[in-house]
Amino acid sequence: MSLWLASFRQGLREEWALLLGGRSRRERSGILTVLLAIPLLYPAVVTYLYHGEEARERPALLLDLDQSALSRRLALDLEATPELRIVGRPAGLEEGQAALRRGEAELMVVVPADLSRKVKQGERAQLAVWGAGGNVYTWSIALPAVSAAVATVDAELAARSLLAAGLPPEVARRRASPIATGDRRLFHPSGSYGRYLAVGVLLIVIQQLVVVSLAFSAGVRRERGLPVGAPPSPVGHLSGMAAAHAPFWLGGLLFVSAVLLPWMGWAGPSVAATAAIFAALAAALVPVAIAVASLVPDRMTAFQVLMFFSVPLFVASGFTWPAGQLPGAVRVATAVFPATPALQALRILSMKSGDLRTVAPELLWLVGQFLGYAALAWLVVLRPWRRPRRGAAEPVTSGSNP
Amino acid sequence: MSAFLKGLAEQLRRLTLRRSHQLMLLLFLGASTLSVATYRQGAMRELPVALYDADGTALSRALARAIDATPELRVLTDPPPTLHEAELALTRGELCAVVLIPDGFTAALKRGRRAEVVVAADLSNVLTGKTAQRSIARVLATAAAGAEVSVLERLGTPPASALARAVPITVTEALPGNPAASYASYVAPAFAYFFVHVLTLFLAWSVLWPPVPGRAIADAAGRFAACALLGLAAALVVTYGVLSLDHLAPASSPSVVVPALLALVLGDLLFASALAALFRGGLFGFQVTVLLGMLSLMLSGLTWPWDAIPGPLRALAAAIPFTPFGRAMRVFFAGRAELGDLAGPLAWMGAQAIGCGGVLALRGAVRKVVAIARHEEVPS
Repeated sequence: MSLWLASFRQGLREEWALLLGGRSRRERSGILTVLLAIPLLYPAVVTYLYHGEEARERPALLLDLDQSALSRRLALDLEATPELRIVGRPAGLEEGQAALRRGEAELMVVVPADLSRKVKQGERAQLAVWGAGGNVYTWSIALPAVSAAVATVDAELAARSLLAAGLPPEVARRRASPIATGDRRLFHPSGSYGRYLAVGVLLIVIQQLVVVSLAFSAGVRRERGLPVGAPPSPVGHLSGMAAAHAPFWLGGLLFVSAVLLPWMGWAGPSVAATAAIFAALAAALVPVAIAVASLVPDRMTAFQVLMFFSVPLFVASGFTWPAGQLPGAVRVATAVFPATPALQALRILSMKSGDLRTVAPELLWLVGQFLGYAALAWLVVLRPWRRPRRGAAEPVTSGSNP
Repeated sequence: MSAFLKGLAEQLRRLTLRRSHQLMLLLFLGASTLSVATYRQGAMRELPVALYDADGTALSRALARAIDATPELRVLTDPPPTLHEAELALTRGELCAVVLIPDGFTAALKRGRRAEVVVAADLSNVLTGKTAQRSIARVLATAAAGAEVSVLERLGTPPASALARAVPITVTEALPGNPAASYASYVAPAFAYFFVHVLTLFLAWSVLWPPVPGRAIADAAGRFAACALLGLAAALVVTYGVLSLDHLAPASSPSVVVPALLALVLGDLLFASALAALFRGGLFGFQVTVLLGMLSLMLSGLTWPWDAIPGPLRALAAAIPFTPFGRAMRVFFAGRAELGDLAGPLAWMGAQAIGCGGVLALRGAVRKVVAIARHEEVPS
């Protein structure tokens, strides 16, 4: 234990010197830049990007081939919806399609030439909505808005028909909309995209902070011929290095979970519970960071390798695309990464419940991962299967450059 | 020429034999495969819904069957026994929505009173919540139209025109770029090419770092050509291999797709070189490249719409080659495009290349001036 402590203290001391040392650009290690830029710059950009919460006023074209009172009424209703913004009225179908191809609008509403005539004759008229680009998100905003505007006009026309058939006005109105839907939008009434997405992205930022900073530091050391995982206790030495980074990790996760998220109104019912899941993820990642740091040969490799983890772990975690809809192989592959239970717990804590007991299964999952990765880190750092080199007086460490 | 070929061969050898580069290529393949495979299903299917039928009539049972019959929803045969437990299941994410058909629903409908169905959807996940809401709303609208038709018929409207009187205007939709409104078509190519973009930036830095003073231009060109070859190969693997996991392939011919991919790869190599020059070849330039590279998907307008991105971030994104490539990708993936159809994005990438070339030229000129001022040998 005393050997472990001695190595820990050595790692801590060396790492602080490396973090804060160096006067010239060449002498500075760049670790401090990583430790500050990741938790400050990324979250700031992500928050700024999604601060609008929702993409409203989708640009639309209106091609009114009918030019009747009914079509003008419909056009007014479409213009009045906050989800749509009529940006042009093309003269014909070709002109409208060309504008869609040029990206001047996302959709085109085509009112057929016989709309009014058909409605008056008791026939069904068809309004066409053409989309461009294939963006499902903007389509999911614009199409329901058009449908809702048409449904309102439909209900009015149906009420008129019922009135003409002899029903009193009040009864006709009720009969025209016979079923009302009592919509209860639970946990996230605005249904906005910013809050839904950005919180998870910020958790991944913290994951990258923990793993990348330690790996980057190990890369610096190896380039400078300094030890990584030095004897007598390589794990203790690496833990000391991690301990030197810990205040920055803690500061970063507190900045994100206790400052940025509450400021944006994204923290959920309990800021403390949300911060706790950020901290739990960071803790579970420490052995991962130690194992990775013991293998990284240089600074560049730290980025080259670790940057490929952030996006797939986010998209395949079940945070945005639900876990139940993922292919089985993807679910199995992502189950081993701490980001998966952490993101699933964050979905609950950031919107539904401030009670950590609600996410007890995910916390247990994280604890299991921590223990598993701690054992793995021990194996990776010490590599007990590796024979000592001939003539080597000291125990084998992971300090050599692979 | 020999220096160019020597540089090309040496760089190819480095990129294929060095363990860290091998690992990077392997992770690129793994990351793109995992991200693409995530959206294999394309659309939401069989989301779990609990339905409580307090009415117990033929109509309410028909509604339950109709909701279950939608491809998006699955009505649980064994829902949580109480509303409190249903609420807990919603909190845990085990349920997507709860539908309550109250007692007296059918009676209210028949008597012309307001009949209400309560739909509580979990909007914490916007995708599932809105899908459930939309599907249930469609079923209820159909039921409402049926009720209106029967009233109109009772009042003497001929059956042939009763439906047209109840729902006079319908909406037909067409999303030619993504006819099935599939999330796979929407995001999988974006993720896959994002990894190509990040990989190419890293490949460029395998030449730029550590800096080699006095490296011949021909040698450097050969090395960048090796990176371009590898980047293009990765892009082709993604286009015609990885994306086929989601049954996706570009609708345009390879004679259109390959130039667009090449433009991305070359644009990225120039972009990384310009950043390296801007930050005097130091590692800070690499860190800035990584930062911009990782943000480029979010800022590209491929997922979050371009007009919703704040102005300063749009200006930043406009300088990254992935942004115009995203525009080109949407065009060559969705339909049979000609190279002329990509003129806009390709011209944009051309302007970026000129800008990057300007930065490199300026950096070279500054170095020469400094060297002359210091009476040093001018570096090549």
